[in-house]
Formats: sequence, C-alpha cells, structure tokens
Amino acid sequence: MTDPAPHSGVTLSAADRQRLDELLQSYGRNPLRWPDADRQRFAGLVRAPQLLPAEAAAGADALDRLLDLAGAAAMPEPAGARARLLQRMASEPQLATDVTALPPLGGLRGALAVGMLAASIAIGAFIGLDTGAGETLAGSLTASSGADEVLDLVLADPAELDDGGVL
Amino acid sequence: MTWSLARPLWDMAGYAETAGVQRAAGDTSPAADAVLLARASEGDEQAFAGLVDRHYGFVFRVAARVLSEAADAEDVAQEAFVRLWRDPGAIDNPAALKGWLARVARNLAIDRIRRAKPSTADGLDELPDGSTAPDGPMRHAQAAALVTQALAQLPERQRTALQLTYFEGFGNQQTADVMQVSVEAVESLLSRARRTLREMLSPAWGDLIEELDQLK
Repeated sequence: MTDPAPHSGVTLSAADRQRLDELLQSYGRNPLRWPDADRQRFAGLVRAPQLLPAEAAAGADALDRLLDLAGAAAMPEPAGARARLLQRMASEPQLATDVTALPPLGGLRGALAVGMLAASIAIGAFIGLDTGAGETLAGSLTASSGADEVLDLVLADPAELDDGGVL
Repeated sequence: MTWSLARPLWDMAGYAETAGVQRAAGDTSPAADAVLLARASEGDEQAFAGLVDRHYGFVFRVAARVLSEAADAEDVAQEAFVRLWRDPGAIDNPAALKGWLARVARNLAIDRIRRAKPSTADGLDELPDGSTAPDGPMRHAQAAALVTQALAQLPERQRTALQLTYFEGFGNQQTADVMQVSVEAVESLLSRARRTLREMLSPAWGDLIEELDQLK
C-alpha cells in the first residue's frame, strides 16, 4: 500500500514508513544526519515533508533542539591544555620506526644473524612435521582461546551488558 | 625547537621547511592529516603541533562525554596524543586518523572509569526535577544543564554513539569503526539513547519545549 502526497509525486510504502520512523528515532528530524543511502532514498520528502509521521517527527525535532542546547553548552577545554600537551611532548621520545637508520649487518654479526634465522626455521619444521607437538600446541591454543572468553565475561562492565552487551 | 601554539605556525622563525606544514595545518581537509602525519612520523614537531591544533578539541570532547570531569578528559586527550607522537606509524591510513584518536581516547576514558569505580559506572540515577514552576519558566541555561546532565547519565556506549554521530558529525560506519561494533548496533544504540533521553527528561518536557519555543 502506498500513500501519495498531493502534488509532490512522492509515494511511501509501508516499508518506507517503517524506515522513516526508525530514522527519526535514531538520527533525528534533520535528514542531513541520516545515513547517505537513506537520505537519497527519501530525497523526495524535501518536497513533501507532510509525509513524515507527524508525531514522531515533532518529538525528534524537539529532542534535536534540546541536544543542540546541550552541545552549545558542552564542557570547555581547560585553559592551557594544549600548551601543557605540547610541553609534555618535548620530553617524549618517538619510537624508532626507520629501519634504514639501523647500522648494516656485516662480518661476524651478519653471519650470526643468518645462522639464528636458519636455526629458527629448522626448529619450526621439526615441531610442525615430526613430533606431534603441533597438536599439543593447537590444544593449548584452543584452551587459551576459551580462557579469553571467560576473561572477557569477567571484565565486562555489568552496565555494558545491560546496555545490550556485545551487539 | 620549542613547542608552542601561542604563536601561529607561520610566525615561527628559523624553521626551514614550514611551507607545506603551514598549508596543511590551515587546511581542514582529511588529506592535510596525511601531510602532517607523514612529517610528524619523521620527528617534525611543528607538524605534530599542527595535528594537535586540528584535532585536540575533538579528542577532548570525546573524552569529556565519557568522563564528565574536565581534568580527567584533559589527561585522556593528552595521553591519546602522546601515543600518536610515540608511534605515528600506528596509523595505517591517514584518512582514519580522527577515528583512531576517538577510539584511543574512548578506550582510555573507559579504563579510567573502571579503575575509579569498577562496578557503578553508567548507573541511571534519577535526574533532579527540571521544573522551575515556583520561579517561573525554565531559563535557557537551566534547560541546557538539564539536558547535559541527562546525557551524562546515559550508558557509555549510547552516549559515545550520540556524541560521535550527532555532535561530531561522524557517519554511522565511522562511529561503528571507532566503537568496534556493527552499523546496525550503532543505529540501535542511537535509538535507545534518544528514547532514554526522552524518558529521563519527561518530567520537565513541557518546560523544556516552552523554553525552546521562546528561543525560536
């Protein structure tokens, strides 16, 4: 069933109406705040705002304006906060991420590095192919994964769970 | 080189390669973040000051919505930027810098709340009666304070979703990325946030609407 608005050429299906209601409830009355896809879908409503569910639209509009009031009265930055941050930065070292800055490996150090790499590969191949240790390792990893889930539950804030938990 | 935002970046004497940094600092486009971030990762302090200049207010507001105390929010904002300075390479995609800062600030703020009071965060206390009938109509500042107080009592996830999408203009996908939930979850959080606000404000709703009408 569709509901045409006089002179607007816009019609709304039941699904459209339901989605409009959801948009008003979640994002408010201003279509600029709606997701892009929904804004495009309902672009015709600019010419036919009377098709919006009147009560829901009025309620959403009032709440938008109240939120704007609160936004304008938001907590101001403490005076000098940025300067204090920049002062602190002056004593903070950066992580060395430029590997080209490291001295080149050569001579004895280079041979040692190549030897350690080869030994690591050999040990890995031995564990993976020959000893069944891989299965033991897999078992312990499974147990560890289960422990993580328990830990997540323990750490979860009860209020967060009340708030819908993990969505 | 001393850190300073007291003077505009273009007023710093004795700095050899400032032109690109100045342009980027004054540019509000996300592409400017890429320029500043690349320079900051090479240890360019002035470029980093440009990033602070562009994003500090936003990071502070995200932290403040979670923490509600200005001093705590300042600590969190500072720590978020320190982490960025220590390891700018943590940002894979410069276009995602703002989201990264929001995520770090939010996580730090939540950690702080949990350390302070492990189990009582996000309690829904009853708001004081917003009605001011004995003294006449509600004043503008009172209305703003009442709504701010109601916002502060929303569960953290609802509050952050509303902060990012409504107040900071994030798209729902960006908000979902920051909060590490699905887009559908963000929409659900927003819907619940607005419904909860309506319920909390309902005792004073008539006065609030009257105040809004006077502001028109």
